[in-house]
Amino acid sequence: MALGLPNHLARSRVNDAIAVACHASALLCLATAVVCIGVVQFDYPALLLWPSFLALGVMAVVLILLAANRSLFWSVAYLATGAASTFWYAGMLLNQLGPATANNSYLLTLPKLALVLCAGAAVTSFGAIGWVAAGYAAAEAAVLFAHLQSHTPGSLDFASTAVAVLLAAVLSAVAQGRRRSQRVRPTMHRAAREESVAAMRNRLEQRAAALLHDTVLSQLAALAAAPTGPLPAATRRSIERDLQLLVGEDWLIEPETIPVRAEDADLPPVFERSIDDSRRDGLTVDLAGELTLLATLGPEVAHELALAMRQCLVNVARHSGTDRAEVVVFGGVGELTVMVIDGGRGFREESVPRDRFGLRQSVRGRIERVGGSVHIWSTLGEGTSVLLQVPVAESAAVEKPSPDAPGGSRRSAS
Amino acid sequence: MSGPAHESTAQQLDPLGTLSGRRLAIVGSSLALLYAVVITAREFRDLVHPVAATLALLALAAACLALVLGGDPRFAPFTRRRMAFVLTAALAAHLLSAYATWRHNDFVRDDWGPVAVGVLLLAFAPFRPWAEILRSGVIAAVVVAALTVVQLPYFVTAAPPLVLVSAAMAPVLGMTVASATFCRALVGSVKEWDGRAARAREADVGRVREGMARSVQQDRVTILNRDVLPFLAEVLDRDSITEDDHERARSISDSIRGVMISEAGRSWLEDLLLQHRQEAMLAGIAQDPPVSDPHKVAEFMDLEQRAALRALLDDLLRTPALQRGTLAIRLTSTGSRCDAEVSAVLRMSRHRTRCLISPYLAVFRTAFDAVRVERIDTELVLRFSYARH
Repeated sequence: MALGLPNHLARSRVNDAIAVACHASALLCLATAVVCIGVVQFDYPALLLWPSFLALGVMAVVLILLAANRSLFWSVAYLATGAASTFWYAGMLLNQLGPATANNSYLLTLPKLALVLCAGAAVTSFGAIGWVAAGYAAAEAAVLFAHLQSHTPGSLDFASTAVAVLLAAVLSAVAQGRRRSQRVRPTMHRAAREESVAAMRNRLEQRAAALLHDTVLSQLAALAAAPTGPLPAATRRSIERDLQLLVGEDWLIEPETIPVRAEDADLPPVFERSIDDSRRDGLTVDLAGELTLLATLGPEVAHELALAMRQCLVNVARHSGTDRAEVVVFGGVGELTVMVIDGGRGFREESVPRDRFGLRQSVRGRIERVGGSVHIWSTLGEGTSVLLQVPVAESAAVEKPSPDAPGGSRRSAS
Repeated sequence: MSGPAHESTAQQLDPLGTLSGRRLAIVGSSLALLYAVVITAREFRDLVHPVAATLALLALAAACLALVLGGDPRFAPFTRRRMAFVLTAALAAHLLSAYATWRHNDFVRDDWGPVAVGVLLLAFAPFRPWAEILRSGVIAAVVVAALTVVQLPYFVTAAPPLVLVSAAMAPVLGMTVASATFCRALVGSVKEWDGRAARAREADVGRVREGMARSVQQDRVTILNRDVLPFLAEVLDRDSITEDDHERARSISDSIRGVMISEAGRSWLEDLLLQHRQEAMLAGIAQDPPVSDPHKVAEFMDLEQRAALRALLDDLLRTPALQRGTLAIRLTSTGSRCDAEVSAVLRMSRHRTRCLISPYLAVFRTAFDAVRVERIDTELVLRFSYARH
């Protein structure tokens, strides 16, 4: 999520970016000066202009050092060597080309611009403007002395003055604009944090609601429908197990810590428990497909998928009118699919009352929370297929089991 | 993210930090226009085509106006189309100004066109990706170079052609490099910080996760302790099921379902404004529920959109000028779009309202679509939309 820089970083990061821009442009000015002087030297071989390359080279080296380490030392060093180099460069040009004309004044301007764009070490925007002023003064002084030394007339350089004014205006505008955003930034960052926490609480509450449905509401429904008389042993065990889970454990913290009874090594324990519970409900569950792929799921996805599958099997046992269901597992690129199929009486999803949470919370809610999707095909009188798709890590998705691998066979449990 | 298409621009990654972008646009445009007017006035007597010179100034003025308006946070984000318009108008201004002095342009350094184009390219820095600025700058420099080459026979100076072409291109290339490197450095900084901030937030949320899970679990267990657990314990103790148990099981089940329905039906937005409504009610102010969301579309806002709206609502609720009980949010849905309207009565001047709201508008402009704001008397109305996934 892009919230931008916090207040304590905004100023320094923007000033750093301005400095990078200034140094890149200054380097371009020096490179252009080298090219132009080279062209003039080539066109007029009698002139002695090539030593000015040395002045530009020294200036470029110190500029690169300043760009790499924007300290007070290198800032001052750049201004000092830059002013000396510009003096040497300008003196050579004025001595060789004569008084500044519309032509060679451009060549004189290039190193001056490189000095104006020194962007020395500064904490505040006004400090940065100070460096602009210092660079401008150093550049103008260097060229003025060159004029005096070569006895040529000098005048105010419009280009370097304009660049100095423009840069100062940009720095000032940035400083002004920053004040407007300072008030709101902390509110935005606080809101983002609160939103992350709220999203997590919401996920936990949904998980709690789904668990509540699977345990308490399921037990209450079983008791409401049970015949009067002695409590059946299976119902007793189921109630005791749920009571132990709800009261005695941190059931929301670590999904994989829920105790499971692993009787079949082919299935991860969390799935084994779901199948085991359905078997106790009197359901015959046929398992087919690439069952070993279930072991490649992360703990949270595996936990939610197993509970969603369990709820599908509960629905089969409770509503379909059949005592047999089939669970098929197959993998795809980046996803794993579990299909729960029954040949029961079928239903229409839109006719499920709003206060029934089984499909909505315990199946759809769970799978969507881990980034998956649920598709239901049901025909009245012919049965129901529920397709649960969950994402898997790419490395896991491509590791398909070999045909001989255990779990690739078809098994039946009842 | 379901707002406008995201690009790697400083404006979209740090909308608050680039509020000064408009100032940069105003400063740059003013200086470019002023420079063009001064040079044109100084050379006016030597102009071959004064009408072309006037049209050149008008084209530049149009480019500057488009830049200033486009840089306004109320109209963010600054799109590629706006940039293309500004650049085309500026280059057209340069062509017209060259035509105005055709065959009588003595010095290439007197041309205001390259300077104006360069300054406008510089002003794009907060708004467009660095690579796009660089490409545009190179194209503009090629146009400027081509026009200089065509005029070479008419310059009075005897300098080598490459030096003259370089002099014409220098302002464009120099300011392009400055603009692109500034943008690249700032965007890099913001992205690096965002990555760090996201990791810190994740770690922070991880730290409170366990405590929160216990708190949520305790809430549920408290509800269960009231009726369910005693009932189930009683059945286990008795080891039998009676007619009365059937009725109690149904009654408790209905009561729990009722709680679950009311929780499931309440959106994050309603949770957010629950306290505000309770305060208004305690103060004796009757208020309709502050959130109207008949299609339950609040859930379709992503994390960034929720954070932006949460921050605005937080600020409005902390403003003493907010008339209690007047903050309302209406969410509706048509097809794949969700429309939102936030309204509140604020007893403060228009200027202060603008100061309060404009930073959020900059953020909303990057997070949502079709953001509009209006003030009717003392009522502030903010409308925006987002995609329904």
